[in-house]
Amino acid sequence: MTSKNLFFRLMREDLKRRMWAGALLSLGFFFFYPVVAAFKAGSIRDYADYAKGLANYENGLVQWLSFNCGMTVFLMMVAALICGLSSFSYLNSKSKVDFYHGIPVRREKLFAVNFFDGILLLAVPYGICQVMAVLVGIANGANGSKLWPIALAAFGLHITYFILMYVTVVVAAMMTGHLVIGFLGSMVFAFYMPAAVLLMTAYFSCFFRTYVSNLPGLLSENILKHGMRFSPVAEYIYQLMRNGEQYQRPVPMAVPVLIAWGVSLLLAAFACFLYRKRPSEAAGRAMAFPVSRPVIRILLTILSALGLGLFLYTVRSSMGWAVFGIVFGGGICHCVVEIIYHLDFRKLFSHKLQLVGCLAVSMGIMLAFKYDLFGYDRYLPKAGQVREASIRMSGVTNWVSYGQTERHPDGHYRWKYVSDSEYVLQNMKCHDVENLLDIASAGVEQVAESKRKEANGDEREYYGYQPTEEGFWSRVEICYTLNSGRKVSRSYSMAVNGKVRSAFEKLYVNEEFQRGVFPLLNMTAEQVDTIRFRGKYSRDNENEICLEGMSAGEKAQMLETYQKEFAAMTVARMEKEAPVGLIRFSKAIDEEAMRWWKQQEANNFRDYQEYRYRSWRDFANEDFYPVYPSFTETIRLLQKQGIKVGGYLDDLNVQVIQVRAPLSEETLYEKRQEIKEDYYAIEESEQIAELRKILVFDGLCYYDPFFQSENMAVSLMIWDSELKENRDYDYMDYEGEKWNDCIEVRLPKGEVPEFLWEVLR
Amino acid sequence: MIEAINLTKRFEDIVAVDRINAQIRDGSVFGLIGTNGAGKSTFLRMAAGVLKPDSGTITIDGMEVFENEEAKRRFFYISDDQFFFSNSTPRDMMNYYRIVYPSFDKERFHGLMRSFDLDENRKINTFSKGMKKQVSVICGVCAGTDYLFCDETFDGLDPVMRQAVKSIFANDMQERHLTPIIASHNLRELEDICDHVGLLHKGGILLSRELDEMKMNIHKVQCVLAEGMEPESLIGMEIIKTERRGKLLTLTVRGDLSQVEHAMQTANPVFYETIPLSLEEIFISETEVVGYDIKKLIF
Repeated sequence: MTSKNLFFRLMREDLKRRMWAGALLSLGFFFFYPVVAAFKAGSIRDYADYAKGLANYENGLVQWLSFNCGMTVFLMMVAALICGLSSFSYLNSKSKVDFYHGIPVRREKLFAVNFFDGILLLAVPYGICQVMAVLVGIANGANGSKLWPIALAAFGLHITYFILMYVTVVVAAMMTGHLVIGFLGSMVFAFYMPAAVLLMTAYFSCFFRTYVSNLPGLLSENILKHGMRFSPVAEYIYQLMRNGEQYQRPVPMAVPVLIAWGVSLLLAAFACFLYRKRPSEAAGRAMAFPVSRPVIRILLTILSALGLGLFLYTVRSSMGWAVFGIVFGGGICHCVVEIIYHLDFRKLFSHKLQLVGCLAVSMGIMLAFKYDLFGYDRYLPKAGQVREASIRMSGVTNWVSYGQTERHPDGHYRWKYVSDSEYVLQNMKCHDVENLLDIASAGVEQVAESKRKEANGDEREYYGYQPTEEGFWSRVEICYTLNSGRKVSRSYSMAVNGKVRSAFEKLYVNEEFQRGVFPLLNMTAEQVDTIRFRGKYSRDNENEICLEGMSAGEKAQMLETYQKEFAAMTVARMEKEAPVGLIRFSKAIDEEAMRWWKQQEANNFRDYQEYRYRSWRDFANEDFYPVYPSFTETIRLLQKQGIKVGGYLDDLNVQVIQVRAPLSEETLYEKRQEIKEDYYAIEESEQIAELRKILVFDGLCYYDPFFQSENMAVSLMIWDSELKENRDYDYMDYEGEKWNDCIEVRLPKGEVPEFLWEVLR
Repeated sequence: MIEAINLTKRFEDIVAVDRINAQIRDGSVFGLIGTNGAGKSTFLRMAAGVLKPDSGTITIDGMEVFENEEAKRRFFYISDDQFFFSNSTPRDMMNYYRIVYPSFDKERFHGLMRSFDLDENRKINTFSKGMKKQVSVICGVCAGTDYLFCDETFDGLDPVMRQAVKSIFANDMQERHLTPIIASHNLRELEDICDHVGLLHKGGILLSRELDEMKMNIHKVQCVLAEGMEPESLIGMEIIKTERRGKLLTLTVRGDLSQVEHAMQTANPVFYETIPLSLEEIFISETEVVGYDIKKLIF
């Protein structure tokens, strides 16, 4: 009998023994694939239009059969546990070990037989049920050429990650001598690293004021990003989510799949090595290898101690509770692990010294974070160490659109958002490091001051985003690229005033900063398809003007002029000037997207039902930039195109101007019930006319975060005849049909007319 | 030949087998006897390649057993708690053993199953303990191996079946030089089947001898000595145990029967008689010598 024959005959015999697992998985996959495929087919009848129903069914089936189906992950996880633990469960029984290790078959061969059978137990029923589901789909009219490739790709990817999880369970089974401990071991392998990384992140977030998780750095780039994936389950979910985010747009999976296979091969080799080394007498013991006991016990004890310590600290903000949490969490975990190891309750404190050591280490870690022993929050590189840097300040560029319009394979369009941090990181390479360090050092000082206040019992300082007289509060994120290429990021909640204000003003006119935060400044004339302008108030921007008939040269000139004037804008000017209109230099794809949307609206989204409730604003409202009165050249070019710039609110039929007296936040909160008493109505037409000359539309001020206005709420109560027909849009407080809409406006700082002060007094 | 040289096995801080040196020659029935925890099963498990020795070696015809398919094809191991696949029948077990033991004699298996009146198609988990042992022995004998390792296999077999198994062993030993190695503490069962006995005690081997030789070398003497004479004054006798009941002495002595009788005659006792020792008595005597006092266990 050849060795090959023996191998396959042993496989067949083993499969016979584990038929129960195959039957269980077959049942699960049968309900999950062909039955669901048939069940979903019933939805075709829900549509009056058969074609629409079929398309919907087909899309649903594609989603279900594809790699993006989250439910499959759960099934695969359960299957990996069943197959992995059942493949080598005989190692946990003395009589079975005597049987299998007493026969003339080498352990490597026994390992291979059971290992491959474990994979077959899943792959065969899964494959068959997947094929059945596709056939059910085709039988119900779905397009087979669409379903087959999806199902095949999903089969390959799911099997890849199943094997990765399975082989990890096998390693856990090799290291333990009891089925339940094997299960617990699998859970440790699956979730320890994600839990440890999350806990570390929580420590950084809780104790370090300058920690920022979404910017590059040791923790966010290496530990958080890759450490989380140091688990088969987490990696599987990560790849699934990565695919899910890119709806209908396949993401390259070759590298992750190759890595998964590589890791699986290494783990399989390691598991085989463990099998060879595993003593037969380990059957029935908790851990097969005594050497692994302290390692796992220490790792779990420290994690539990730190976890409970942090939890109690965050709830009570007390170091006393933190210490209790560390002792209690670590102690309990240590004792539970000891009981499991020895299967004997009396062995709770078999390794007291180790327990004390773990608690001491946990305490040390907690104290290092609490008192910032390694100076994380004090980090400030020397200017010479930094090659370049990027800075993002909240409240400065909130109005800027980051992202672009995208066309998806099914023909629908969508605005793909990019976070401002991401954009800034990619596009800003600021070399005026000294200036950034001035801002950062002020941030470090403010953080230290805030910590001192907190230590003295003061409440943590409030920070917001609204400009104040002294300046404004901002969340400042700085990412340094050091000469070595390493990236270090810090974030400060700080008041931008005094010296910081000067540094910020200098920064604002820095070309590298501007190009890093304003995408428009990187736009080229060739990219401009159409210019749009919003210069008059209208409820749904119906008054937006599309400048048609402009030559390429005129568009280029307009872009260049605007870019020049916009770049020259200073913070001081922005404080005084309010925008008079908004301009957009849209690209061809933006225009295409808007035409597509209007077309779909016209035919009631016949072919794109699922997108009908997506916001039109996705791509219609993005990319607008403010036009200030001082942009004389831009305004001249706009006027040349026949556009009147200025008088944004002129066409409104204002009946009343309602003003709320300036109040502090505290007073407003206290007098919430009597707030109506603080409103004053200006009804005199002359007074209204005088006010209208200076009032600025609140929506325009959104594009100028530094515009200084009086701290009072002003509303224009207007009569909109179009609204009369549609009572749904009516303003709630409308009185006697005098006005039916309300528009929020602002009073520029220092320009309050005397009569208004009289009214308010 | 199976040879153990300085064979040692520890389970954490317990030494289960301590530097055993033994040779098991082919063609004889080797009985491995010993107290509970003496290391009989551990020795057999190492011989079967289930356990890896911590030090020393155990070989079959010069081949290391552990992880050696060729060496392992030479024996069939029946553990003290033989495993059968769940819901399996004897026929299923036969089919499995046929895969791993190429010389498995299927026809003989059917014949023996019939002889022992066992149903091949009945689920083994419905069998009694003794019937399961019979199935194990039948599988072991039919595997066609040169050695058969039996760990407490005869426990649970009724006397008739025991005799039947013994006759199968005798037949196989004669026909194909089968060498059964039987570990047990049921010495009466081994006495009439074993040719050679290895006596294990606390992990070490006390003696390893032909059973006949062992019986010839240890005797029980019942005697009444002359007035004023004590057993210590008997010249030329190696007394290993003395029991006294009034004037009647029962001596367990080592040495050749003729030597013992000569020594007794020389002492001119009032009365003496030599009685052969059973294996059980030999076992108790030998273990007592090394401090295993049965009385202490009982009282």
